[in-house]
Amino acid sequence: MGAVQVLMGLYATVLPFAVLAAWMAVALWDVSRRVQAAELGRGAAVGWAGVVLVVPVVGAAGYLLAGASLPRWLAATYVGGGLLAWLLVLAVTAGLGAAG
Amino acid sequence: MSASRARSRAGGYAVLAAVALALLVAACTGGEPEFEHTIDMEDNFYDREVTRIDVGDRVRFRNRGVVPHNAIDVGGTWSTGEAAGGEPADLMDPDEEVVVTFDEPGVFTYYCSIHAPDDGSAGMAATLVVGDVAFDAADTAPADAVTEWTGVTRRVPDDHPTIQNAVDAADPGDLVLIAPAPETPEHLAADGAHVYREQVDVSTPYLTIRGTDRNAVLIDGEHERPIGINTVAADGVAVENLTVRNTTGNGIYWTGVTGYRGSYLTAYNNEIYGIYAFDSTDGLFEHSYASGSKDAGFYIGQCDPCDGVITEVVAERNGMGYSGTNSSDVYLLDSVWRHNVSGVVPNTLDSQRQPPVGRVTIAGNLIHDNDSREAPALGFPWMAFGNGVVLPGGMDNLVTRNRIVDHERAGVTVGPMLSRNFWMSGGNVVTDNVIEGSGYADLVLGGPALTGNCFGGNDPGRTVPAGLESIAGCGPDARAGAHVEVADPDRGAFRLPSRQHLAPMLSFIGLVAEVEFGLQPDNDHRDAPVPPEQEQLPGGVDAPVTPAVAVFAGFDLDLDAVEVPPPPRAPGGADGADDGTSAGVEEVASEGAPTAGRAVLVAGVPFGLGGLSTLFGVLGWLAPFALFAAWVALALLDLARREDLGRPAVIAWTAGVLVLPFVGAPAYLLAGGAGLPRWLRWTSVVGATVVLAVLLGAAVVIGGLL
Repeated sequence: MGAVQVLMGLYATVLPFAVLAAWMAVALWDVSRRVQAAELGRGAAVGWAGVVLVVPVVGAAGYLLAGASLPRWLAATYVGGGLLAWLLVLAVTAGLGAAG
Repeated sequence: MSASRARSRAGGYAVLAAVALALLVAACTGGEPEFEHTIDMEDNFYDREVTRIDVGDRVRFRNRGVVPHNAIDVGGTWSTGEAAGGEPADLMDPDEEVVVTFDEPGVFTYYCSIHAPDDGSAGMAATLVVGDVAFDAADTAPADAVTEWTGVTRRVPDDHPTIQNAVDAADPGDLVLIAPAPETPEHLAADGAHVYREQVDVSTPYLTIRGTDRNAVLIDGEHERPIGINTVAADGVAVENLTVRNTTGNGIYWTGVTGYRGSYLTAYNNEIYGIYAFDSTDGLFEHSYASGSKDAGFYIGQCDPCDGVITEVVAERNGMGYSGTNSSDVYLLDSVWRHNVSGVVPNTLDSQRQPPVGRVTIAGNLIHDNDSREAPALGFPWMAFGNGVVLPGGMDNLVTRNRIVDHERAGVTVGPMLSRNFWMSGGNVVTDNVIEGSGYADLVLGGPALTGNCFGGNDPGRTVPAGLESIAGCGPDARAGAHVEVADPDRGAFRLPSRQHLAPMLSFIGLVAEVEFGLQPDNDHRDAPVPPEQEQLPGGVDAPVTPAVAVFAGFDLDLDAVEVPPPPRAPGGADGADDGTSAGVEEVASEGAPTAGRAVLVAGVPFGLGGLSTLFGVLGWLAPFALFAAWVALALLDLARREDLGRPAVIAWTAGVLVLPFVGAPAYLLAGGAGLPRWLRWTSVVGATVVLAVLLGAAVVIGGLL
């Protein structure tokens, strides 16, 4: 197993967590922005923040796709692109023989 | 229009994801196995002198050498050449493989036509035993070996005043029979026992050195002499039914031999090793006991293949119960390893030849409470502190049907080994054990790791990483050694890269640092308790005299018959295991608070176990992990806010951030025109990285790891 395989295996391990952290950060930033723009009440904001923070994975992804004020193409890029990037890294890692 | 495009993109993502997943699955799964056994051809020998298989089994012959070889039955019934569709004497080139199926029972001597005579009497020849047929292991002994007792008994002290005198006078095949030391002042030890005050150096092969009373025949190093019985380059020496204690090095030692046996031996308070074979092959340690050694009670090292067996022994209060550096083809069976600093540790080091360690089978053992802070230990055992079984840098090992309970850290840890080289583990199979009461985790796969490590049927509690038996499951046909080829059909179930975890390696580095800081307990081996009386050699002085010839071939190795032993007896209780090994060794679990789940894990880093493991786990794993996640989050957040970029640019940067391993996000933050304040971008990327590197580097340097 070479250094590239080790690197890709490690990246495939940490990437999903980093993507999830990014989803949560973008989602919470969007909730905050909508509150400041008076698009969202305080109660609804707290509710969405709770969903984003507490419901694993689908909370943040669900908010970005269904509740965020982001352009839909951007939300789809973040959620779908994150998943696709992970699968791509997994496939490359497996192709290098590091997944056995 | 916009919604339609989004739906179209989502559909595209789904198709790409399905393709990627299909590629992944195709890369990770296999079909039926094509063989049950492998015999490697080296230059110029077969890796196993004797191989036993069942009728109908398929044997893969593989040329691992740099010159051609083949395998031809002396009786002409089969050959690798014919199995490959050619002539019997056809040669196999390096790396070529041929599978031969054996449908008829029998004992087959086979040879390489260019490296052995056609009667298989010398050179590159070996034996294949197919099915349950009569087979005399002595037939495989070297032609000049002494396989039987000469009938000569040299008695100590009746015929010879010292053991050394008797050994020097003996001829190959003689019995040296040792009675308890005379009750004279010159034999009187400090504790009132009468002992032999000598180091016995053995250079005559095929001797049997036997005590008349295991508990009364004492060879005492008096903390002055390095070794009790020291067999150097003398093949076939058996040592039986005596005790060696208080040496400054090893109790009973063989080095550079083919054929050795230690039976019904007691070794205690020998400073480094108890019962020890180095650079030796074809051996057996059985019904023996070792305690109070700073490195290991039992050790077999630097041999490949070792063809060594350790069975029905007890090791307690040592640095390690068992240690074996760079030793392959070793079997640890039906024994008790308890109350050591660490339990069973086959390991890889560059300080000895023939790395890495491999093909060690650990089966049917009771392994418990190996987290002693009272046992004497060198630094190396402390690095494995609190583990039942550790396979650092191990390849193709099998851990099965053991009971592994009550360890402060892990039941079984498979992980890398940092020596001069960095040795990763691969092809290890951990199945059907009973593992419970582990403070950190019952099963641990520490990364980076090679392929083929798998876990199944252990019914573990906590594992690191979580769900290890699912993400690194064995599959029905898994077997040790599956790492050998990526396309090996026995590799088992689909596995994610996340099956391995870096935190255990950082914990290990923390223990290394503790050694360098001198934080490990410093217990004097001379203070270790004297063991109770041990079981005598059946038959006593009249037991058959058998030089240690063809030991491994003669051992009735039946892994299918190995069962999980019963649990240790609770303190003061009557239930639990009679360990079935040395009489007088009471099998008792440790008192005190249960160890299970003692540590709180944060992303695999243990909190609550104390020591430097947590510090290194935080600095080396948690902090960099969180920093990377923060970079990705900052980058995507900034991209979401930017109004100066068009959609293609945002998508391209997002792809770069996510797909380029570790460098995509910091590259965007530093050079992608991010809208975040410059001070924030440089502080989070460069500043945090430098601070973390300095902290970790300081810990590494201060900890003496560099």
